[in-house]
Amino acid sequence: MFKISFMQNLRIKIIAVAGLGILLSTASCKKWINNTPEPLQVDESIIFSTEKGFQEALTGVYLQMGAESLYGRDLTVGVLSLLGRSYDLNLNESIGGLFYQSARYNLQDPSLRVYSTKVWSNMYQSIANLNNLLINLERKKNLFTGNNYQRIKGEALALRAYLHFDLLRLFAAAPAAGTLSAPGIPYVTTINATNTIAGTVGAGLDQCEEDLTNAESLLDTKDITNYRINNLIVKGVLARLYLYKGDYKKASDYSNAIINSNKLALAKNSTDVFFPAENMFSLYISQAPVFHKAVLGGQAKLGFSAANQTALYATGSGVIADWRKSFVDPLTGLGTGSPFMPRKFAVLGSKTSFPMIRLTEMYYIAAECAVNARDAVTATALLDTVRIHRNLPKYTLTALSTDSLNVEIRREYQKEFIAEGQLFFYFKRKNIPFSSLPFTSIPVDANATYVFVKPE
Amino acid sequence: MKLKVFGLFTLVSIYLSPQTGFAQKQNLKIPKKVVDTSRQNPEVILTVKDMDNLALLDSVRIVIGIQSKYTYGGIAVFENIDKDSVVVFRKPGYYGLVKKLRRGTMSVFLQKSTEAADGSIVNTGFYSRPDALFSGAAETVSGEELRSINVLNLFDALKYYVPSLVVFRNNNVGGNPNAIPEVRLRGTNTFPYSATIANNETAKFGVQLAPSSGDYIAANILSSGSPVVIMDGNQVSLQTAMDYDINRIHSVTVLKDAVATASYGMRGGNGVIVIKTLKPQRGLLNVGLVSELQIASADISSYQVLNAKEKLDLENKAGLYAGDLKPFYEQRYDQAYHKGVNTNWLEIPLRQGIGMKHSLNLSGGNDDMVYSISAAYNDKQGSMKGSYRKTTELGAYFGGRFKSFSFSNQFSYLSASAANSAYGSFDNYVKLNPYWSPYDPVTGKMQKVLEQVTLAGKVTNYLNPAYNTTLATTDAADYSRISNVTNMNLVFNEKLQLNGIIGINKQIDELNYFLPPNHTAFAEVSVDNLFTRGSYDYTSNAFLNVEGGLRLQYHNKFGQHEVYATAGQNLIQTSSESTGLIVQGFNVDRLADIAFGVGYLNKKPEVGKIVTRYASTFANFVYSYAERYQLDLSGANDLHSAIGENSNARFWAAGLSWNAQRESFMEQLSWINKLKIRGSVGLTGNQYFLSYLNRTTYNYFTNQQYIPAGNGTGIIGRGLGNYLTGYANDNLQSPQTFKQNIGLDLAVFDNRFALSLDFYKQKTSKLILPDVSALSTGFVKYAYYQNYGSISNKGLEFNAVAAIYKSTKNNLNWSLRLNGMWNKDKVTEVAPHLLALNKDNNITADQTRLQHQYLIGYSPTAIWAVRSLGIDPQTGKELFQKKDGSGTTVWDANDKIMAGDLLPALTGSFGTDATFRQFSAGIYFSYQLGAKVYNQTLTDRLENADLNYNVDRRANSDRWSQSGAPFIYKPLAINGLLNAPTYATTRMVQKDDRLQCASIMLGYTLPKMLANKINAKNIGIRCILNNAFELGGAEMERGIYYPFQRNYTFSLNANF
Repeated sequence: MFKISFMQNLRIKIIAVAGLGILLSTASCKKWINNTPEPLQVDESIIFSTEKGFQEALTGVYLQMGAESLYGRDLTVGVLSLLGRSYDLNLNESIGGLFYQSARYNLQDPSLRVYSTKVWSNMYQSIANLNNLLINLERKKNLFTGNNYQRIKGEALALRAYLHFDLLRLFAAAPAAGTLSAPGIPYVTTINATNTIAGTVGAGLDQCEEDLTNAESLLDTKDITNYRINNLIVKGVLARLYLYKGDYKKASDYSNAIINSNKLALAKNSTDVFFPAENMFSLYISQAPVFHKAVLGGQAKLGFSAANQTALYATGSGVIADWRKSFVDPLTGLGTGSPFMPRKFAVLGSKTSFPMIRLTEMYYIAAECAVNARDAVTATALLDTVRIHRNLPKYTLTALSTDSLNVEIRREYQKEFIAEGQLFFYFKRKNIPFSSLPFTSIPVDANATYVFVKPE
Repeated sequence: MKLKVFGLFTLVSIYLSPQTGFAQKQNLKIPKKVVDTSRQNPEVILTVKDMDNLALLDSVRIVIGIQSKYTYGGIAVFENIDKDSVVVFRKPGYYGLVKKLRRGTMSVFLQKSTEAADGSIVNTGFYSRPDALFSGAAETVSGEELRSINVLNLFDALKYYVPSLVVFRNNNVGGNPNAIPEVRLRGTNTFPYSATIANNETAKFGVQLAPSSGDYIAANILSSGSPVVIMDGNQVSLQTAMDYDINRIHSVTVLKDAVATASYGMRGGNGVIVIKTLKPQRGLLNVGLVSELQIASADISSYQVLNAKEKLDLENKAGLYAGDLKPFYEQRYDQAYHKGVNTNWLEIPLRQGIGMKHSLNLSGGNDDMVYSISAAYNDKQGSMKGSYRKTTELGAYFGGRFKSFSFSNQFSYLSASAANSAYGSFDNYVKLNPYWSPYDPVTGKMQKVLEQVTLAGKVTNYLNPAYNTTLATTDAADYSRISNVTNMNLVFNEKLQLNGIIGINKQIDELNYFLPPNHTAFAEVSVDNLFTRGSYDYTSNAFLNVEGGLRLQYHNKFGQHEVYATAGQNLIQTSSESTGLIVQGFNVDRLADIAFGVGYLNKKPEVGKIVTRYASTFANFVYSYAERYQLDLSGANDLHSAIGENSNARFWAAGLSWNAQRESFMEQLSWINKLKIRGSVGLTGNQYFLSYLNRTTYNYFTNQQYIPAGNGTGIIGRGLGNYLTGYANDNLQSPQTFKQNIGLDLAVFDNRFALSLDFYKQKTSKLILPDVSALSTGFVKYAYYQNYGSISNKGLEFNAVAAIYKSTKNNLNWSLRLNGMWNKDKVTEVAPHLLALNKDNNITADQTRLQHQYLIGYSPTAIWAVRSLGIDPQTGKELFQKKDGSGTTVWDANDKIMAGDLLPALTGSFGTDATFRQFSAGIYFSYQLGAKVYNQTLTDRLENADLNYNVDRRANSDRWSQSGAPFIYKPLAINGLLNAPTYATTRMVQKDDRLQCASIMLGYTLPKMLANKINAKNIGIRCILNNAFELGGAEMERGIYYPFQRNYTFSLNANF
């Protein structure tokens, strides 16, 4: 009797202890909780569980760069081309505050402040995407096959530098205008809610340089796919960066390395005035047709007047036969009617890729460095090489004077990069006084500046 | 008949286990006689316990043959009992039990025939404890007590008994039967949802858009200070609890302090309301029937508008007709004076809403099984024409027992069909001019345009909102809900039990909102857009809640020591989803179906899907010494899908109580029946905040791919890109409420006078608020939240009940009740987001109404307005006092001061009821003191009023004028808002001390003799008048979109 009761009590105790044990076990619960579905979003752990996911995250950044406020419109044909004096027609208030005030260099205007905030915020969001990609990349290093780890990391680092460099060129004073110790922008390499303190311009450039050099060492030199970052593009951006910084030696090295690598050749005809074969970095912008129409057609209908077309392309060292002096009517795509749109955009709404860096820029960088090194022969030869491929005769002299070279390089920038957004950066890098800006059809605002207003 | 006998002696549960415990040892001294042990047991020890809480039962009468004894300390000892004799256990209030004696020791459990609802047992939902041993602050109200106050609104009824339960009367929604009240327990401990939400697109990921009305997660996120409502073990939304048939409620327990709520872990912070529904009665067949007639009548006594002639005079006086409008004066004069048009627009959308309710319940059963079937239909008609809420409920309960295992299964179906009035918002009628007639003078039909005014080529149409009722205007919400709860109970022995619960609740809702093309909303649509008129907004959503729980219950008593312990775990998963779409472009007013629209308003439907998971492990331990000193410990370790990976949610509580009346030195004070002092302290949480803040998430670009020319356009997915949509805060914690409570319970003079006092202090911190991060972090688009901010509450709660006269003769009873809560809320920590919001509220927000300021040291519901020095008698302009003390006529938001609190300092109820013979009567009041209100009527409908519409009566007098006549308000203007707007000023802040007659009740019960003649157990009739009248308070319009209403309920209650 006692034994039975003892056994029974024991049984109860075992059940009780086991029951409690089950009750209090949290390990399996933890797993159940962590696997809570989120039906409408994709968790990071799923995205970064395959190589493809990393590629998609990178592709996502290229797509973000094609946004209207970024390279899709305003950092190329839109705002920056207005600032870059690529248009002189229809500059009145009817084109909207953003474009009109851009033409007046009134970067303090509320419409431009709103725009600045948009650029700042969109760029940094893309940077956040890149940072999260990079953090996960290190965690999942074993996932990758072939050289994909190096390629994706290199692309991501280069893009991070590319975006920061453009932020710096937009939102901080150019080294030529001040010093490298002027306030710069936050160079964000982590992802969290805490602000990264803004460094100086010099520090920003150094950080860009660091990311780019790392990218250069990671990216395969044989890969020249130009719709995403490759080794050549990184070198090109470095050349651009060194020139902006004033490091002519390195700028020269990088630009000449690209020219001499012979991976890209200058154009031999004018079928497409964007000269796609020269395109080092071509960003695909799915909505580009809409954006281009909004600027060059539509309500804004910005264009470059016939008189100034002649002034830029034909007067002086130019000739009418310059392939680039080719303007068409945005409506018809023909040279008749109102031929005020650069032909590279014709037929308006057909181009979905946009050049971010072109080979000719490397020639101009190399030439500018040569001028700086007082090597007029090399500088003239570099410019001549481009001229031949633009249906222009060589200069009559084999060595132009330094002054002439400077003027010619500037004119080449204007001719070559019309409506591509690069001119603004040229003017800013050279710190050209607002009074000497070309094609000023409306007066520049009294508060004109080359520095966009930082939203924070 | 045989079954009836069976019903009387009900077997509850028995588990025969040899007792080697204290019972035998205690009785060793009993001398043993020599007996024939083959036929007789020399000694029989019988232990009797309560089935529900395992408490040892005293005064159980045990009869064996001719011997009969009462248990003491749960035990009775018999001697020399024949084997196989029959033992009968009986105790009033319990089901009787007949057992065959098999061994020398036997323990039995008795089950209560009527579960106590008087508060003698505190049921926290997870476990029950005798009130005497409970150290927490909890209040139990029986269903009957609730029903004697208000049978229409559970929370209005409950608030009468529980003063710390505040049910906000939203002045806008008024008495709308489809509106859900805001409920708070012991003050406000969260910021309003609108203040805690980040202003970006991804913020909406974590809360269901257009949630199901059963989605308690979404409902609680939108009102995160609401107490948790548990119904029969499963959590439900306020709406579900309110739609449930109040006649089926057995009792409601409100758990307030840390000890009472800590077992709820992350759910406990706001307090818990535990609702128990009626269980079947044993017997052959019990039939319960309730029939009600409900009349809702609008209370528009707060509205004072001008009549046609007065309005016209006022317009004239203000100079409305001095200019181009002159020709209209004659026209209107003709209407008002000659045609005698004087429309009382207030009456147009109103009616006496006559509704009814029928509730039927059948139950029966015996020792081994019980069942019940119930059905209810409630047709609640509102006081605005066409506004109603109809609910249908079907329930089936089945319970069974096999040896030591028992189970019950409760299935219920609840459906609601609700509609808002096609008349639209009440304020649209209040503002219409009385010299306009709703009917066309020729046809006599409702006219669409009341008056057309053409000024300088600009046409203004004054539209008749009542015209919309002649069309197929629809604003309806329907749902059906199925819920099934299974309870299991395994008794190991008299000390140990295992309970299990599984609940599944599924609800599907549908919202239909149709505005026909001729609706006044589209009156200004231009001819070009003719085919965009009409819109149909359709939302369908679903909610699924699955819960499982396991609890081990232990109870033991060793001499003076008594221990109760419970440990358990609950797993809960909710899934919520909704899809909404809007179709526009309708051509026919009569065809109220989405199928007749032209196309979608937006490109795609709005979709929301949210899943939450919650696992809570808890334990409670109570130790009592001689029922005098108690120690109560609780703890919970929670896991929740919304908190960060690196944080944990652990909660605890500790309580002490002292039953002083059991001390020997109190013996001579026999008039004190109860003197209990209790105290508790602990930490509880709040799980109601956005989901997925702990997730780093991506989404795909679905409208574009990165496919450069010549790069394989045909290959789908090759250029697929994704982007970050949310960044995880891995350190996100549950908000936590630190609660302290000291209480006293006193009952004297044969329990005639009872008083409860509770002093509490609470501090809720780690609230979840959006982080203000710089744009350069890239986080602006992400819903990134941090634990910030805190609010503290302190208060005193008292509840006094006096049974002044108690007599069985003539059933004459008279009792009084007075209760109240003094409460103070204070923001003790703010967050960067709130500071930004404060700034915004002072700059961009509409300053003609109150805007919140969340500042440390002030109540979150404080009124902020600029100090007014009155109206300058010289100029008629308002003078303000700036922060520096100087006077000015320029209103500046930065000069706002704290001008009072919207919430009262003291609220509560008092009332009395009496019975005499078959009659009963009661009158119950609720009061509030120390509240302030911003008199929006004086601003919107008087000083800021547009005289093209009707205004408050006071607009006609007491206005400042050049004449120097006495004045109160600013000078008369055609459009005050445009002329000299009145912004938040202390001049409009008024006292809002109010006394409301919540309920008047009269009842009559048919004498038993008469009832028995028609084979009824009892029959009663009752009539209740809710919201009879109100005294005091600021003179302002109340019930803006829907008037408040008086409710008359006549009910017949019969049991067979």
